[in-house]
Amino acid sequence: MILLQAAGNSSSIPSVLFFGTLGMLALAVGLVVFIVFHQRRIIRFQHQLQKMEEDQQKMLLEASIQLQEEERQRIAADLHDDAGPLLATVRLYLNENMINLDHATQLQSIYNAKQIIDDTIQLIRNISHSLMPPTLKNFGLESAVNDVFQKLSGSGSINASCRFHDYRRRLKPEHELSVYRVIQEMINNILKHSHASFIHLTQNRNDEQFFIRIHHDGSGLTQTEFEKLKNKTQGLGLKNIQSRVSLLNGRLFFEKDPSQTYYKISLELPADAMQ
Amino acid sequence: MNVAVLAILVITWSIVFFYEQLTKPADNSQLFLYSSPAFWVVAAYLIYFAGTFFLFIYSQNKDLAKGSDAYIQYNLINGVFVLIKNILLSVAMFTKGPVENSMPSRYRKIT
Repeated sequence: MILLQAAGNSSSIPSVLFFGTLGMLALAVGLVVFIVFHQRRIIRFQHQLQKMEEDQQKMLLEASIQLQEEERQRIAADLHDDAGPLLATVRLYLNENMINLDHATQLQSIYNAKQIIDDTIQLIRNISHSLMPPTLKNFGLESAVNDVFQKLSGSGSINASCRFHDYRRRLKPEHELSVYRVIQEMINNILKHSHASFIHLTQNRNDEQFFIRIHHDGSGLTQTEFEKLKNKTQGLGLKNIQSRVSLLNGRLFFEKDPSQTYYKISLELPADAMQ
Repeated sequence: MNVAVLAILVITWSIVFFYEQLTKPADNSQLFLYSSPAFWVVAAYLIYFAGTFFLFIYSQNKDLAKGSDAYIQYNLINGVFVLIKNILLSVAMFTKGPVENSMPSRYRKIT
């Protein structure tokens, strides 16, 4: 007030200078206040983002643990319900051998025991193959996927075909297994939910990326539906696919063909996944 | 150096400083901008030079006779801004620097 009154005097500082000063002061204070609040907002946003990422990671981890547990339960059930009784039967036959000294009966029970042991061997081989397909280990992804598709096609219920355009450079073994599992899970989902009449898988690559594309004509998923479903608490399959793909640093796209006749799933992996 | 040029430089540098603080990713040691002494020092000089900018230009172009109204007002306004600047600088001195554990415990492990 004193300053403004003094400004009327000709020998004093003009009032425009006061307003200029006040304006500059307001601007400077405004800037500082804006920066402080803006930064607080950014930090809050970052925290939210971090929390969401944490939740996502936690969900994926839980899914993978649950999958592991389910796999263990399945193996335990296979061993307990199939291999256990078979071996127990063999034991019975051999016990009988010790009691019954009749030569012909002994031979018969040894033959029966041998048959059952053969079955058990076959059973254990099946269990181990379901855990780690030998074709994949020995001959690579192309042969393993071809195998799966041949079996699918052979069942007669679906028209399945696959074509690897350029697989001279194999994926790293651990990546091959992950990609194989992803393909298996996707085919499983298609068979279970889409009621498709054909599945077609193609592989291709360029210098930077490795592609797998699966087409089918059933009722499939679009990217938004996939994002929605994978965040749901129930259902492991999509979460597992997502966690495997993110472990491979890959990307996964679900889309509907522009002609609206079939769905397309694309899996892209970076070049460093290849050997 | 011309004091107006100096003021413009200081204001520009202060704005650049704040801009950098906003754009750089938040690290764990420094959560909020106002918990760093640098923020208060820069804010002090920004407010001081912004407030006295026109005053300095005016005093450079006009000879202020000692004891005149303009002289008294010049000193009064300058004094007020020096006071604000010094208060902010003392806040800077009393602000503890980067504190390791200023981040909530649940974020400490995530780096």
